[in-house]
Amino acid sequence: MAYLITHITNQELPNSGLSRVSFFTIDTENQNSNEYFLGTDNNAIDIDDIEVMLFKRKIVKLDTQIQIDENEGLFCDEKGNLIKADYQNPSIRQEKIDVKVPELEKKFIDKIVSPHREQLRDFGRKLVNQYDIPLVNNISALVNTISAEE
Amino acid sequence: MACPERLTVNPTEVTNEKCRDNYEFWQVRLGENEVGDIRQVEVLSENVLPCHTLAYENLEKIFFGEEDMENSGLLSLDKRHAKNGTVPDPNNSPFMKGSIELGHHIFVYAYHGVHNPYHRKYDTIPIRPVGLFFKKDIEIFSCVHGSPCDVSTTKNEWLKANFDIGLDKFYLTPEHLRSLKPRQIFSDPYLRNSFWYYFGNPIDWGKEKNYGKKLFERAGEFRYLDAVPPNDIQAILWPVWKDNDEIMEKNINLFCRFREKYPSIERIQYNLDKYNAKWSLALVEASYYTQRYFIEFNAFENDADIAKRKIEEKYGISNNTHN
Repeated sequence: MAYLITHITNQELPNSGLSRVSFFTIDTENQNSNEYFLGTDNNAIDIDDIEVMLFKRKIVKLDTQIQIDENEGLFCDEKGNLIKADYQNPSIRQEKIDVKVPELEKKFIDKIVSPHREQLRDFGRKLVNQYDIPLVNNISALVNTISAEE
Repeated sequence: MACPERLTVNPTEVTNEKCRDNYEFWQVRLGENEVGDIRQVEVLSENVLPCHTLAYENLEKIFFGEEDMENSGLLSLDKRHAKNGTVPDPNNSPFMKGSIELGHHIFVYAYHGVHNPYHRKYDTIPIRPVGLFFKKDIEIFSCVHGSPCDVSTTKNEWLKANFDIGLDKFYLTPEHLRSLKPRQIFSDPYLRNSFWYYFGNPIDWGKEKNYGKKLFERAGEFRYLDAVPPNDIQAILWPVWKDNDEIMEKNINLFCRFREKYPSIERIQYNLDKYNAKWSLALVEASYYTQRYFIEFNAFENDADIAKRKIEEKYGISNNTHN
């Protein structure tokens, strides 16, 4: 039996390997109802509860719904990619899913940026001041973000 | 500990007499419609152990940490706050909001039914429910009382259907609760004259959409004043899962520490991943077969799957959920 994933947990990324992602689904035969299900459970969760979790950023709404079978699980890798695989043995039947999840991507960028924040800031400033290369706008945005966060 | 003769629950005075009046009221309201073997249902209703479900994330804190389980017991929300010198805020506690408003946060709750994870949706995901079975011989009014159902949420359709009578009528003694439920099982068409359908079983849980919600609405509720000490806990259903991660390692370690610190509490492991993402089905199956095994043999197996196999051997695979 197939399910449609609408929301996933807004969770930390693993340092390596795969980390299991919990998800919410809707009934494939009744997609317009306000009933959501945690995983493939068949007891509905009210839309209000989903909205509270969204508000608290515990979960993330997907732009594109993902179809998943009963024997599959959802996982993410250290870069924030979503991967479908066998529920019990995620090393088999892996399939990368082409859905962008900005919240997970941001976690990946943060993980890369955080340990080198100062160097990147200095490097970015240097580039902004001295060079005019196509990348400069992006780096400039990065520096602005870092400065604003500080 | 001596139990007070009466309870004062914001602002209701609950006495033995009041509970008896309520029992008589419910007897009339539920009527006598038994068409099957009510005696068999009465015996089961009389003997099942109350089920309390808690969040795995709180397990260590409750049994080894700040809540001082060893000395104080499993505390009501009110007692937990009192220990910290705080007052519970309904807005910060979504699933206890209704209880706080009714003054029912002075109790610890357990179902007269399967470990139903209805409230566990508020836990941190991934959800890993832990089940406790409370002892039956501690059910002494007013330390313990009962209610025909959870009255704390407006989403309870069965409560709404009976709301006209007022919440005062929902206070019972524990023995009255156990004695009324068979009548409800035979008068409520949804409950199919079947104790195990009312109690909650994995076969219907797997097949019927929103069965858990309907059970939650109809399950009797035991309420324990202030706390349930470790001596009053008969057994624990402990989740294990397949992911060989750091959290699972900690889980095994915690299990061993629990065994050492609380040797009198029986420990039953259950496989949370047994039905993949159907984690609630795994819990319900473990709870159901553990309870049935206990009623049958007056004992526990240390693995819920063993209890399942033995019950299936005795009653058959598909015929063991209805009576």
